[in-house]
Amino acid sequence: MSHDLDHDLRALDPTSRQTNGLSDRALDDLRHIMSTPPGDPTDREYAGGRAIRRPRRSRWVTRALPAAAAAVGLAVLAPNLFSDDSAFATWTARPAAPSVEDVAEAGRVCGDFWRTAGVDRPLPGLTVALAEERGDWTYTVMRTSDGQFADCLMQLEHGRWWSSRGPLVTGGGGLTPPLAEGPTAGELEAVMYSGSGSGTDEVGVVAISGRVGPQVVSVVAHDLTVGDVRATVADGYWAAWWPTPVAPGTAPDLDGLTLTVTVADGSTYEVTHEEILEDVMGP
Amino acid sequence: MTTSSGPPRDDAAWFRSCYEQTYDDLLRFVQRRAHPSHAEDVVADVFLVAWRRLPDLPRDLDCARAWLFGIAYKTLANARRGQDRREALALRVADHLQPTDAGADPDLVAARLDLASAWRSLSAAHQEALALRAWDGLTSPQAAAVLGISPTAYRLRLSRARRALRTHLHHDHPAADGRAVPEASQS
Repeated sequence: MSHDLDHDLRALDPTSRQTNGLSDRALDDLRHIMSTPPGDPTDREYAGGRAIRRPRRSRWVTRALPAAAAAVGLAVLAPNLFSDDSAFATWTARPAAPSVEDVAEAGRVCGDFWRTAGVDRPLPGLTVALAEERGDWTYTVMRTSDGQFADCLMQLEHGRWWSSRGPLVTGGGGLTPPLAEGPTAGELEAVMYSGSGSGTDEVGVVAISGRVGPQVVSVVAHDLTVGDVRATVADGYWAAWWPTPVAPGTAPDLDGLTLTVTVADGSTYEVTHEEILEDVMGP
Repeated sequence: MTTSSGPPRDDAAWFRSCYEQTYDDLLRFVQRRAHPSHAEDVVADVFLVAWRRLPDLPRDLDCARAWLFGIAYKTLANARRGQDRREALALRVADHLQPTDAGADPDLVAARLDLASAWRSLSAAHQEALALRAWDGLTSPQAAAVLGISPTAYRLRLSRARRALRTHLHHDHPAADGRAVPEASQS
């Protein structure tokens, strides 16, 4: 009786059982997946085999994702960054603040992502440090009670937390090791810095975020391709991201980024990309 | 200081073999539960998670397939949270069950339309219980693992789902009660 019913139900199966071997897309995905280091994405190998050092003289910590990891993070994107049919058509250089409800949803979705992303170390008290909107996209920086940071880029309206491709995309950018005390006064610290490509498409994303002292009032990122991007600065954190062209199969070129930091007394200072890398990666 | 260039060769070979042998099944699993245009994306996500959790990937192919289904189910569940609940949870049925199908046996088409109608009247939980068995071919322990419930709970749910399906068939289409859907004629 049950067997008959199962048999009848198979006629309703919406999928075809015909197979013709792996599609080009499937083979491409396999290559991309196996080109990434397996295991915990926060370990040294996953971070491109480069040692991520704690800052010594200044307060810079960066994390650059390898190109392979980027295949995880980002979407099918039109070649033209901001054309109407681009996934980033609505992106803006000036961020907006999400609603309280959206912040909560972004935090929940991003938290779910990191809890299920194969990270095998605890993420105690994972909560939203900062969230910002640029068009349809929400970028969320998460922090744990022991000083780890993680981030996500997502389209909340789709409720999607992660995908390797497709317009309903979010990307997990990175997860830092635990950090010590944050910056004070007018200091700025970059905690996460990632360049992610889609693997096969010609658009990627650069995301950078971190902590600031209480006297920092604004941060503007100067990208060679996109131009000036105003960061969100709130509650001791800052963040910015932008789409950028990439060659298929590669991650964005992170060279050339600089920051202008403005503090409460109106003074400004510049942070060069070399300074970031030198402080983080060592001389 | 040493760095590893990748997983043990056996592990990588197993992953590749598993990928090649389960991809179609996993794709169908996702296509039944998500918009087909996103299915390949989800499958890629699932295999990436599996790659990251390579030591957890069962070394038995059938178990690995069920384990991958479980990751896909969780992935899709996360994706559904921002969408309309009913739309998100309902499993699609074949959209080729049209009475106008050229060459189709009218009785066959009518019976399947009845069954499809009854299917759509089921709760999402009952649809899922039936689909995991009839479409995905999972055993009760495997289906239970996908759903995150005990095998006993799954068997109960499956039993109730079958009863509910028959009830809907009886109520909506009394003539269909007890009628087996004829098999499609082979052309």
